[in-house]
Amino acid sequence: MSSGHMAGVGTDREHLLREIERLIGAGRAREPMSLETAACEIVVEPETVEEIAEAVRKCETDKITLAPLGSARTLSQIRKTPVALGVSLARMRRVIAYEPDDMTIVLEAGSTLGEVNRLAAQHRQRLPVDPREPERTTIGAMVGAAHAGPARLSEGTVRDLLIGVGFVGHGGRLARAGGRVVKNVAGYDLMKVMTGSFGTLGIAVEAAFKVRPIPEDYTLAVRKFGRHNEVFEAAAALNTALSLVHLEMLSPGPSAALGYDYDWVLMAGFAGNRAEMDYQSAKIHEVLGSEARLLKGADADAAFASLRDMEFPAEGLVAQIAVRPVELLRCVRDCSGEYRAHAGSGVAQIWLEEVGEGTAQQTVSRWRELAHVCGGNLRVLQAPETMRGEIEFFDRPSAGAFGLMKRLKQAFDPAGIFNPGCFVGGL
Amino acid sequence: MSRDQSSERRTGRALLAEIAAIVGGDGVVFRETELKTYECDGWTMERSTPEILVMPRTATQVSGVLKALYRRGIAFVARGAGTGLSGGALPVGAPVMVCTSRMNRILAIDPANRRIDVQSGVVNLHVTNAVKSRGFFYAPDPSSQVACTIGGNIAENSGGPHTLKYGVTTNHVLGLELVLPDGEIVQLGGAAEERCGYDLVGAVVGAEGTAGVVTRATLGLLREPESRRTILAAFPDADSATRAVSAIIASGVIPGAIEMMDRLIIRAVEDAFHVGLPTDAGAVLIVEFDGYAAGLDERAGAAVEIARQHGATDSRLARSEAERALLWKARKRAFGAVGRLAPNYVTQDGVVPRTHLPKILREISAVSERYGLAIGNVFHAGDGNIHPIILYDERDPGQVQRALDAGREILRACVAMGGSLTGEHGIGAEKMGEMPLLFSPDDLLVMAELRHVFDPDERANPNKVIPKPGACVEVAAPRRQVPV
Amino acid sequence: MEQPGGSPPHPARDVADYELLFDCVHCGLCLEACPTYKVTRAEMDSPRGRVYLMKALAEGRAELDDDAARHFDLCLGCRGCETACPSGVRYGRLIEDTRAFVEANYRRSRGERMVRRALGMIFPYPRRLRAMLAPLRLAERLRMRGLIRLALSGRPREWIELLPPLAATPIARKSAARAEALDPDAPAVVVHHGCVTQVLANSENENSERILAAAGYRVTRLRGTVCCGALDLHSGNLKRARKFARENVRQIMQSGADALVSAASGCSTAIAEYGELLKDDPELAGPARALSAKVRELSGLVLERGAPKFREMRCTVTYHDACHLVHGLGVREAPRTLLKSIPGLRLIEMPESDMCCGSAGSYNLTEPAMARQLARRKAERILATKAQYVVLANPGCEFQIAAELRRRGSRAKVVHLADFLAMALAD
Repeated sequence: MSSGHMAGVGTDREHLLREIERLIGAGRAREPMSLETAACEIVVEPETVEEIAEAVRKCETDKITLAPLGSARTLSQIRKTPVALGVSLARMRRVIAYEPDDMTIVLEAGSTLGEVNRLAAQHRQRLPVDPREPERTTIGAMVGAAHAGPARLSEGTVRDLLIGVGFVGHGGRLARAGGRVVKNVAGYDLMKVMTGSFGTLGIAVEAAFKVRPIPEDYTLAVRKFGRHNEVFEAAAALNTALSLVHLEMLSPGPSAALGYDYDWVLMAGFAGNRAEMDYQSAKIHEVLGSEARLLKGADADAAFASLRDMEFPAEGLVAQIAVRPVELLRCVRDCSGEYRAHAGSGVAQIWLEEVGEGTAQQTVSRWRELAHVCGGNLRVLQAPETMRGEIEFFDRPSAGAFGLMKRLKQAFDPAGIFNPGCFVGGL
Repeated sequence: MSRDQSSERRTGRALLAEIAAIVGGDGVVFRETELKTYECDGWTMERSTPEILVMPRTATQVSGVLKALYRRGIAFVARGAGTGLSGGALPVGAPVMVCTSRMNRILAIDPANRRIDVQSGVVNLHVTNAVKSRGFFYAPDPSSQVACTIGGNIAENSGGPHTLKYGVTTNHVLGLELVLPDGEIVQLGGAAEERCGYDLVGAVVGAEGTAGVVTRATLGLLREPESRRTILAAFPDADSATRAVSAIIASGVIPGAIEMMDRLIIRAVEDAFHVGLPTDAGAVLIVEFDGYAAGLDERAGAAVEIARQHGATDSRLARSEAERALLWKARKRAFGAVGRLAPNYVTQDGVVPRTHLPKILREISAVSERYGLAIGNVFHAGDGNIHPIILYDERDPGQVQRALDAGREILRACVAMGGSLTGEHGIGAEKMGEMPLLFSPDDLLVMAELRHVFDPDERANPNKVIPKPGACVEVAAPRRQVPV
Repeated sequence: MEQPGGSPPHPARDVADYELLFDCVHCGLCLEACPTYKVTRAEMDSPRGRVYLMKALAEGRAELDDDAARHFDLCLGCRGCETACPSGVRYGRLIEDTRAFVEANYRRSRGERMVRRALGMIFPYPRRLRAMLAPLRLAERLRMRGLIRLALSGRPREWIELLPPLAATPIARKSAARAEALDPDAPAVVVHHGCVTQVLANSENENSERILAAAGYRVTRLRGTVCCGALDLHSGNLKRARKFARENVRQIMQSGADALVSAASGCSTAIAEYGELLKDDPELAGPARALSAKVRELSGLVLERGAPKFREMRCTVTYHDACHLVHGLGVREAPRTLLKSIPGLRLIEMPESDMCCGSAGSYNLTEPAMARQLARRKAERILATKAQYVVLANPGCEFQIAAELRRRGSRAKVVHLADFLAMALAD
């Protein structure tokens, strides 16, 4: 499934651009801009599923690579060479159905999480996935990259909320699975397969989700610690004592960047009705001591947003580890980078501000080994452009599982055109 | 009486000897009388006897058995405790049955990480029992939880009352050990929340045994909530009760569970268990809130008030843990209690958007009248997951036919309201014919492609879930043509 | 593959009441409540499987071959499944009828026939049993019981191992002084002495009387005790069971007792079912029903009049639920409540306390292998509690569990509830 022989450079580009415009209409194709340039050579902006199907069929016939562009950032950071065609769903962002009383929403994949949540908020509801910069995160990208954030502790991740999916696969075939009801076991669970598949199996065009109520009240407790293990011990104690919305830990670098002192910081969010808030506040002070600062209302929301949207260093090496929760402490300590950790979930983003030339792969290997020892895995989220060639972004699953994944990729993408070569094991 | 129609046996002495060498003599059953008890699961409308039953104890044994079958091109069906309600463990063109009931060891309990490792034959409730003293529980709690196995739950992606708040099986399975139909043992997922590559665990959960045989699972555990409030609210009719359901959930907090029972069920349950249900009510709701003790009274109070506004004639709180346990026992054993009302029943598992509950219940009562069969309703109202229980007598062929037709008509109505054929029981052998109501030919093709990733030759639980185009199913007729 | 819509099922043979077989909806909730299923984990050794076989036999879809007979024989008749069954399947009744069907239509091996005949000829007749045990009793006086045991092999040896010491006077097995009740209006209770009980554990009868008297009941005695017929009921000899039942009905009704208890729970349950057993008896149907309604249980009766004064007993106790007490009569809490009312006593619950120990009437004599497996399982649960006493209310369980604990060299004492309470009586 190597992309070596495929179209993708030079004069072909002009040709392809014209071909696509001829196929699905003038003004539907354009040059990539900024981040998109690292992701693809031409951007196509279809308006309908049928237009996507046309593009897919064309690509299959001519062996042209394509990928859903989604938030181009994700793609630009994991691709070593761009695909020929980036499929942007910017023109497919309708809300197909929102039933507040049923607490379900069906969306075209080009909608952004931000706009979806502004709509849902009118009914005091939300789609409780909180990746960085929701205004720039499309539903398609969120599903494709399985983006998640701090609230995974209480609300789960995309795989827990996605109840239906539609995607254009090989042959330009539109396939749907799941449905619009919150509980449904009819047929195979393609929602799970599509979640985190990075566009390697097809172009997701619509998605149905459960939505959840926005809690009555939300408070963010912040407490700094002078030492690495103290913050973990406090987090463990809190996680046992309370059912929190989120439980985040920052190393000194990001704490300082967010305006806290250069210290380890614990940020615990909790929600509920008044009695529950009183109870939790008291408990927080009991566990964290009087030093814990409780942010409320707009202050809490703002502090949470800056935590959620936290930037990783532009030229840094960033990875996400997922391990057995109690081993997170040891894992991030031994990785010795800066981190933002989701305590309780056993997931953390770790990074080095800069890496020496030629040492990136070495660092990744070392981190990866630590993650394996702690019962988990590591995925590189971002690496300096010059070092991408040497890095394996995705961790290797077990041999048996990888065998199945190869078969899955082959079955869903026999022509090998969907975002090839950058996913797990080179799929 | 018709016998197994696979007139020529595909299994022979050599296979029997090979399997016995793998699992031991006491792990193989091949005599007719004994096999007879395996000819159906909780879906008793159809029967089919396996030729050989194997009861392995380890994944290695399962692998050995599947290899022996693979070489001979023989299909198999896995079975846990045989409590499934859609005929998922019914052998249809699968001469060999692999029963996981002896694979019932709990392998490791890891309370610090909230994980537990079990063999797939472990009984659902035994998982919670094993961690209860440490303050944890395993969330999916199907009504058959005293008997059903984790492996069966994984196959069907089982739910239960408390999945309204806590999710179904797939939300609590982190890792799996799967024996593929060719005998290869693969490890999928693991102890961490994020997986490498495609989410194959998610693909196997709910695949109804068509991906191979799951032999081990890593499950996530939840902390026991600090406290609970369980409300029993009586309504004059099902309509007002279901409207209250939507209103309670819309009020901004997801209860632990909202269950409904209609008049027929209330009476059956009360006759059986004497829990003090109001037998004059048209419907009751069991609404449970869990969480911090601090906020619960307010939540329960608000729900009681909403119930009252929607016509509840009486609402009371369970006063003790014993009273709560009794309520849940009654609810969970309601299906069985119906066994007291008629010789046989068949239950459906359709789903509608929650707000359509009043409408589907009216439709069900219309169906009941049209077909002249009593239908009771006991279901997960919060999820919109209905369980109409259609009563019939198998000794009257006309009734059997009508029961099947009535069930199908209800499912069609669910789909027409934007719902689904099944919320937690699975498609199985039972509802294959209805799949085209819900999915396009392309949808089904893609699903078949996914299945073939695990099982290219369709050896694992063949003739289930996805109907063969043209070949097998006539939706309206009870005598389904099933290729054997 | 058999499909609905074929010819409707109808009874071809009279195995058990055909209508009752339809109560089973094949839900499987009984599986884990069945001791034999727990051991073999096979459907045909479960209540659901057995009921299914009964129905298949009745409908002529299965034959009464060795396998069918074997799996019915293997049933303990503990009725744990009835407690678990939501549909109210009257399993006890069904298996008793089926056993009669098996006895009438199935030819066992000669050895099996002899064993069964011998049991039936000896057990219900105390004099015969005493005579048979005389040599052993003598040997025991001469301290040669061990020698006898060694001289035997196979089943006789296992049987001997099950027997309690015959000569020694164990705990509280002193003759009970019969305190007269002070209240002449107090209800009259009669203790059914049972055939095996009076030979092997008569102290339990006497102590039952003593406790009842201490609680303020008027205790009356029968003139000689006739076997209750349980053994016949459970081995398919309904004819003789009815004969015994009629004798008992006449005798006990004459005694004018208001309530009847038995130290053996199997006897209590059998008598509680006389109404059913003799329902077609032209003369005794009514009195049998009346007698069945009088069957009570020791601890419940005692609690009704207020527990007598117990002395302090600093000890740990675990309580084993005899099958017919818990599943037949539904007695679970009363014995525990009474035990807990003894000052200083700590009750430690064992898991599966209500699971059969394998004794099950004469089951441990006819199915020693399965009985032994269940005894082991029970012993493990008991030993895990580290309790000093195992209290139970059935002599059969007492012998079975004591034998297993002896084999394991455990020092835990197995004591009948009546003996234990007598021991705790103040004065």
